Amino acid sequence: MKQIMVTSACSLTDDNLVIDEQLEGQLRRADHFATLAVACGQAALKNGPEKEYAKDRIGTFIGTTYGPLETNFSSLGSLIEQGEGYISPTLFSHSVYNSAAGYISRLFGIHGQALTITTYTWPFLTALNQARLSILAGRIDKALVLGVETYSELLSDACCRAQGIEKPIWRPGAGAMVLETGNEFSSGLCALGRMDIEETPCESSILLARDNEEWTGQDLSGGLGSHPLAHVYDLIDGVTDGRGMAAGNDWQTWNCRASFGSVSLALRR
Amino acid sequence: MTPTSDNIAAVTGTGSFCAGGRSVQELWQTLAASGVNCAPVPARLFTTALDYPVFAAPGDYLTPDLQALLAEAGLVSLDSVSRTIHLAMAAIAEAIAQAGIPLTALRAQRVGIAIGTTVGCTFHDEEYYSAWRRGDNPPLDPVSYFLNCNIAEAVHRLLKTHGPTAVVTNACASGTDAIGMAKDWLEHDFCDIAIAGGADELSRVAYNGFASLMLLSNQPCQPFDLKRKGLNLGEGAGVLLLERFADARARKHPIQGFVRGYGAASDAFHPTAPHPEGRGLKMALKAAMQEAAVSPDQIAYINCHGTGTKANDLAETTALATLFNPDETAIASSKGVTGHTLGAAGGIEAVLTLKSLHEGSCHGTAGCLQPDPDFAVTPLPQGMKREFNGHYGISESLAFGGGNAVLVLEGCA
Repeated sequence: MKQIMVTSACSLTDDNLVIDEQLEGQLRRADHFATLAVACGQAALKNGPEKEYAKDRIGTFIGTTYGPLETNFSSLGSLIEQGEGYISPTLFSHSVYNSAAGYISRLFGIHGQALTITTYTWPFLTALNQARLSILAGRIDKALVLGVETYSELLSDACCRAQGIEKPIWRPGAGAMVLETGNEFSSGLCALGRMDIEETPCESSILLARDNEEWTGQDLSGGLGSHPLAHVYDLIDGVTDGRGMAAGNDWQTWNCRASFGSVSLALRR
Repeated sequence: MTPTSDNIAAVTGTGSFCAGGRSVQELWQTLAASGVNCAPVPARLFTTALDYPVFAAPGDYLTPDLQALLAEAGLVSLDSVSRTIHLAMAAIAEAIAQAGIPLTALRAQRVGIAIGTTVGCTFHDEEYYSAWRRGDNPPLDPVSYFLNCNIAEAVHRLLKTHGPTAVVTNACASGTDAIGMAKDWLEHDFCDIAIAGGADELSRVAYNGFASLMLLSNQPCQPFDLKRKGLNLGEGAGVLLLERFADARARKHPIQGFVRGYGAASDAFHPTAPHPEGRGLKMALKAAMQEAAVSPDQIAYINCHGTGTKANDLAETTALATLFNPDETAIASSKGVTGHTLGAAGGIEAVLTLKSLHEGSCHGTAGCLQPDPDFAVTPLPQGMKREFNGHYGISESLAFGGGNAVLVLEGCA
């Protein structure tokens, strides 16, 4: 069985978002969602080993809770303001959820599978698992996996009103991992083994607040708060600094649980 | 667990609900008759001054199978969820009924739900949005409704099942990709049963968006025809119920077919237009056939994306001509009877591909009266029927963002 290695991992928020000069022009029409995805994806690819792959052997997998929701609202606003037949074609094409994956494919010359997954629970982990399965199936040899969330003023307002809080909970951001097949003893941050995701139906307020979401086991942090990327940032930190992973041949199981389900993934340093 | 003949994804149920019919059999009959239920947007959906006709699904989604399923689940109605979920549930109920699996048995297993959509994941409540923009504090009910309408999670909630979920938002290839994901899930023991496909409802925003991109026809669409003017939007759902072959065989239930191969690739070319030579589609076709271990001459039938736009139909036929001989492989589109159902298209078309393989024949492309002579291959036109002996077929989808997804399906007689 193939060994799947995490060869690079990184995250960013709006505070440290830097756009490569070479990409600036090509991102001039891109929305914030696509810009975050491209910037984080570029950083993750740069940080990884310089191993050449055929363009069609690299895939892109994006997981998102809310997608380019603000662009959707802008698109809706364009329809309301401009009237029928005059919705902005640029806004509409960017409101399609896989627009960011399209940017990544075009800008980085990635010709393999590009998949965007939208779930309210653990979209990044679902995307990570799908990337793993696509490598195991032999379709690709390398995967760029991204979790991306942008700020939605409407949703933030709804969350504040629903929870009786004043301060918006979100900061836009993205997290990325690069997966490759390889020898775990010679390259990469860690090996990625089996993943399981079990989702439990729940009320919408629980999803919005991400009630009781926490890592369990190992020496990971506890509660994760209500940011939809909190678990992604935590996982990336753990993978890059080795937290929660004792050295050795044994798989370490990372468990995350919340009112909306549970997920486990096996990692080995 | 690695893929073997025992854990390959077997199809034991299919379901569809769209303008072509309220069931797979009805859709098949409509396809055979080249029935075109294309009309102005019904006022029950939304009002518009634009004159682009659509393929609206029947208003009554409560099919006998869905009524039976709701009764079994103890549900009185589906009023609390979106129209996209209504369409999905109609198709899912048919698939579950065909598969002959009681809800109690479903609930005892890990059920993977992978559903593709485009409109079904968006928040398009114009009234709430307008009030909020004015600075009002509108009641939060529409936000709760939006959060409760993630299709895959809603299906679990309604059926009281559990397992992994994914809403695939890969634009018009979403349904095809969702089935490919479910194949992986079963083969790698991520779930025990999978319900996979696509669902999408007609929406005013998407309707206007496609109009602004000048992709809509003001007449019933004519995929592959010389005079094609664009696509018609449609709505509906199409799903497969998948089990590992060993499990289906153990319960001695008839198997309709198998998902043998899945391939996906990116054009890396343009945000909304396909690569003119179908670069990504060719890669996806080769990958899917390689995974299925079949050669092009074994493919009896291809259900094309075939939307009726100038660019799509030319790119698609150009790509197909490099791999397939139309004398050996029947090539047709079913969008002339369904419209372009966006995220649902891949699900509906996979269902139709399996149905064609089961019947040993396929029907020509409704609306294609004079195939474009510039195409490198000639698709089957309206009114033609092709019979074949082969067991393998392809369902393919192209999408905004340059996505291409292909399934190789094997049908059982």
